[in-house]
Amino acid sequence: MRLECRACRGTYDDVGEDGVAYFHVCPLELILTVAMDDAGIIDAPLAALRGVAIVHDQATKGKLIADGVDPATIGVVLESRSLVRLGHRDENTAAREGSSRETRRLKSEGAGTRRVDVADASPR
Amino acid sequence: MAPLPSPALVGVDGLYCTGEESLRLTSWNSAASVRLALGGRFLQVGRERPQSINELHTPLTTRAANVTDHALGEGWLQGVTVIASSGTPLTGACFVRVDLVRGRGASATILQTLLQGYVTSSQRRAWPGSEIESSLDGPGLLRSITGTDPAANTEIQETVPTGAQWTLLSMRAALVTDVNAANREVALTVDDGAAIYAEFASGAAQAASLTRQYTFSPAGLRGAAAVGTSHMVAIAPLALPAGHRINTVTTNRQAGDNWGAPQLLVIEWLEPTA
Repeated sequence: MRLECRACRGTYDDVGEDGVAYFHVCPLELILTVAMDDAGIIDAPLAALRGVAIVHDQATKGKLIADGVDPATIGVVLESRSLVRLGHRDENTAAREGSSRETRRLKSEGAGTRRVDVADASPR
Repeated sequence: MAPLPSPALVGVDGLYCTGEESLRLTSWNSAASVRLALGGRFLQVGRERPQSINELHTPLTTRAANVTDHALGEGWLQGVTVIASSGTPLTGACFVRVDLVRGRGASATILQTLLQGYVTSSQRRAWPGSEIESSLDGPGLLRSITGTDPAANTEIQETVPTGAQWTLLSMRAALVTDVNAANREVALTVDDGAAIYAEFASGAAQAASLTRQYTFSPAGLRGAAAVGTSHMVAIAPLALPAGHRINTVTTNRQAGDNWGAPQLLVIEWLEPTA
């Protein structure tokens, strides 16, 4: 069964092709402090910076950005932090309930999952 | 105290049990649809011929321990064996231990470990005879794993599951860059759940609107196809305990950049936690 994590939007199969259960864990979220030429300093996740050409080093800025890019759309990263995202999900086992049943408690239910039609999912 | 009754057919290796002991079978398993058969011979006091032990046990599939106790009467335990009677767990997927215990449940006293090791549908563990092995002994289980396909603007992160230890042999994934002009550089980092202890940079730049395949493997030197779309990144062979993470780090990653699902080749050993 293919699932989509409601927190990180990653998709995965709950059981691998070898029949072994797969336990999804959300990746950390990258938060950037970015200096924009025309808008000062912004503190935001990368997703909020669409349309901005991100570079991580002022010193290499000129080498990394292609000619003809409007300097006003270039964001220079001053600091980056990886944080646990809202609704973080960790499907590893925290505790098992009962001595012989499969019932178990996840390390973090987080925002949960939804079932994805395999035909609609991106190819593997 | 009265002398013990002499068993008529018991061998010298018979293990005397008072009637208060049980056989405790504990399993740790990652394979689907496995059922274990616990067999053996037990010569009860007052009988001339041994009786057979035939018990079934269903392991969990989450690598967590499952425990069942099988009461013994008073007499001599002559042999115990465990095999996977259903399912097809490969070596490294189903680890078992049989203990002689006194009492029941969590408060039982472990008196003796009789056998311990991996079983398959064709390879048994037996007492007497089998060596008591660690779950980290042996060649491990070779697994090809499809990881999570992250959403756009998200790095790949794969976590070694609870109850397992991995050695990473290879990981391959594709990065599709958006139209934003910036040269991305990909690295693979490995951390202990918090602190990074290894980082392997690709040393290659990926510009806008391109798809590139990255293979991280300890098998070779760094290299990139001259006109192709693949980058080879050499990494160190690392033993990764549960909770350690394998991450991509994309310098100059743009909001529309999109990693595909990673394919990992790992050797997995079970590492019982309880």
